[in-house]
Amino acid sequence: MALEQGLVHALKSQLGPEGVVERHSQRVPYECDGLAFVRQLPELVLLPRNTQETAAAMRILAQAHVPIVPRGAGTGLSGGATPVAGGVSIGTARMRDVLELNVLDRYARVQAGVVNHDLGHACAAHGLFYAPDPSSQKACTLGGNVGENSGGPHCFRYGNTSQHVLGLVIVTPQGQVLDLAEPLVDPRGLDLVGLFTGSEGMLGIATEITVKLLPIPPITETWIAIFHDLDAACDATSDLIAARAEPSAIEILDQLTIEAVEASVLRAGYPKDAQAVMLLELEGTQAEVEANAALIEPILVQRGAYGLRRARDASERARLWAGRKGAYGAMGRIAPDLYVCDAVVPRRHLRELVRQTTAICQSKGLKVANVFHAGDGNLHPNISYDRRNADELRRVLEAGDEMMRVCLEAGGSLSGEHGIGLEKLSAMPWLFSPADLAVMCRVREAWDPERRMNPGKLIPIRACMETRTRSSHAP
Amino acid sequence: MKQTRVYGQERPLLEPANEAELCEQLQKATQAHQRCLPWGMGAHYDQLPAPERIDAVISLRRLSGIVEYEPAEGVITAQAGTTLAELRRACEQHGHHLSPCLPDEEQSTLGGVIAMGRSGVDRLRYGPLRNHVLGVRVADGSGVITKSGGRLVKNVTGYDLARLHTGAQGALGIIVEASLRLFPLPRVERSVFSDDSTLERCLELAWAARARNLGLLSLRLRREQQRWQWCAHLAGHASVVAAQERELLELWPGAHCESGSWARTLAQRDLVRGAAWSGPPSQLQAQGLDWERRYDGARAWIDPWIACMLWDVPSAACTDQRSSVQVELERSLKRALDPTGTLARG
Repeated sequence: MALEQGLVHALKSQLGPEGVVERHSQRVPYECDGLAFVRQLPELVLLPRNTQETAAAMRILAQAHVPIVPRGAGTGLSGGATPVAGGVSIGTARMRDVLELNVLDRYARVQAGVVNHDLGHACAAHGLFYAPDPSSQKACTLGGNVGENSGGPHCFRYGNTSQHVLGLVIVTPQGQVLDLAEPLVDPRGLDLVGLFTGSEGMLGIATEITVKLLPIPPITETWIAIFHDLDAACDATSDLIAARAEPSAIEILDQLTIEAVEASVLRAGYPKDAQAVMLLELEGTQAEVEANAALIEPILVQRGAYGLRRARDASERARLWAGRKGAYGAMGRIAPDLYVCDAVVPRRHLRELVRQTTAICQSKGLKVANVFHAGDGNLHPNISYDRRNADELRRVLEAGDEMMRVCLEAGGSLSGEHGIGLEKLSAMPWLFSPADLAVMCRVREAWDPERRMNPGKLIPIRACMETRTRSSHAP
Repeated sequence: MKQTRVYGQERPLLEPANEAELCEQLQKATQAHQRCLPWGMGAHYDQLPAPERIDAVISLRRLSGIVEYEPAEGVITAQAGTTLAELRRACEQHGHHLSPCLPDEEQSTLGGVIAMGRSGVDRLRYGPLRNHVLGVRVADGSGVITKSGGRLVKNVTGYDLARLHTGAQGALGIIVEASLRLFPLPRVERSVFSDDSTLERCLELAWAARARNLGLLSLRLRREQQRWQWCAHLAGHASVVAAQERELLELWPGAHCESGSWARTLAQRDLVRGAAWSGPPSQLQAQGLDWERRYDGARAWIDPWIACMLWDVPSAACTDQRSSVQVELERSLKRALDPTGTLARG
């Protein structure tokens, strides 16, 4: 369904020719995000430069009732930025300015297309940092992070994106500007910023983001601990949580991940014969780091950790983390595609659930590697596969569903940081009742009565239909 | 029927013993086109203006008790009518700190505190309350209970409605149960108090301490009889607290230190209600000096790093600073989540 030429002209008059991507070959890169096996070509891609252009474009699209899919860098893994048939994708690639870096009051105001890592770089010179650090931080944008409420290894201490967003400028589906950019101690009225963060682009488009900056801790130490088996690494994590230890990150990489990383350019120096590696980060003053170390070390040793040591210097620290964060890329050596599953489980059940999810993949003849945010109970079983092999893809999806079921049965949830998007849409009713989903639907319709923003994501359509039916019969 | 007095009027008091009774009462209220005011222990209601109409008050006090507390997980789930004091006692037995740390915990229920979005004296270290609410179960005006979030420390499944209900004053639903993230209970607590001084000097010291990134539990400036005092609360491992104390004494050699669990004592002393201000830290001094001139003898406290202050003077009616777009959106949310208008606020 091609869009009317009049509409395209109107959009060009607002955004200029560079802001409207029409040519087929130029739209192809937008047909999927990190959930690469689902593809849909957008009718048009819009690249506004600021809030005003975004609002103008969205007013035009509202008049024509065109569906809209917001897009950051397209690194999301749940299909949140997969285009919708007959719809327009609005990207933030030309909104890359850091608008304000307030060192005294410790916040930054940025355009939505600013890359997570670039913000970190901009504030490091002032002794400040932005805490959420998704593995894709060298590419992913702050706007995308807000949409998905992204996490990362250091969220163990600092929390997901929503704990760091102080304000937003949002363009509503009707093209109105909701300016909540002021960094407030507490929200004025309802916490719309909190609600919007993690709403997966279904309530509007954030064009400007105000984030909290934190002082860089005086001391940061990265520890590596090696284990003879993955169970022991998981148990050590559960023990650390039960002992109320306070590192800022607890990450685990299993043997297949270690092999892939060590065979890649990201070689971090993880021992190749290890069955599991744990990376920990300790931060704070000298006294804090030492007090934490004194608590943590005996727990790890008790669980059989060997070769326990601190990174010698900043370059080794950087290498250890580059290996961890680049693990997904390194797995490209195993197979052309990677399905990065995301689930959260109670942290006292880590060992059983890592075992069970691994066994599910193996029973389907799939190659699974585990690299995950152990401290948060956030599992990432990564299945290497080839999407051109239809049977293998089917088994991957089946394994994904089965893994979700066992995690839910143990009191877990569907996503710790990747979101629901298209990927886990069908699993939402496993966790939420029709009434729970209907509430989400009503919240969405309060913002977007036409349901044009990122349609078909997060809330199963049936839940929305039920809401509609009920409200149409209401007295 | 039992009556209670709210905003100077006698109103029927409903006291459901369990969720089923609550839902039944809400259904009846909806059918009768009544407006209900959810009620914990009444610790906060006088801080809010009276709703347009109240036909009944629904007390959540009997929906009380801990639903789940697995110390090895660091999460507690409780019914809305449970007092914060009860939760804190349970958590401390297993080495957990419950945030927010409030002055009136025996009179504050979990549901009430969340509905008011109250953060505590420990906010400097742990952050605002809305960061700790992992999940809620909420009854809507027609008596249907739904959930959002869960009992996990990390979870982005579905819209974050826990954040929407936190601070919503019960306008969008009645919280019946909530899960909170817990923190390690500090092993040692100490407080450092300065001698009497001026606001400028106290703020100067506060900024100097901030530059040292000491990781304090709280730092407050308190005003009594026109003199300011600087009061830092330290908590954590003994060695960490000792190091913090040394650094603070370097900054203010005349300060004195005291041991013990001071956070709540401090919170109680700071139970001041009145005119509030919050804004960027860089504007705090100008604002503070202005109010000092204006409210000559008043008690006050300032949280310099969070940049908010409270003065014990009658607060002027606040002007609504929300934009028309925001107001309209909030009205839409109210209509969406409470279509029958059974909930009195909002």
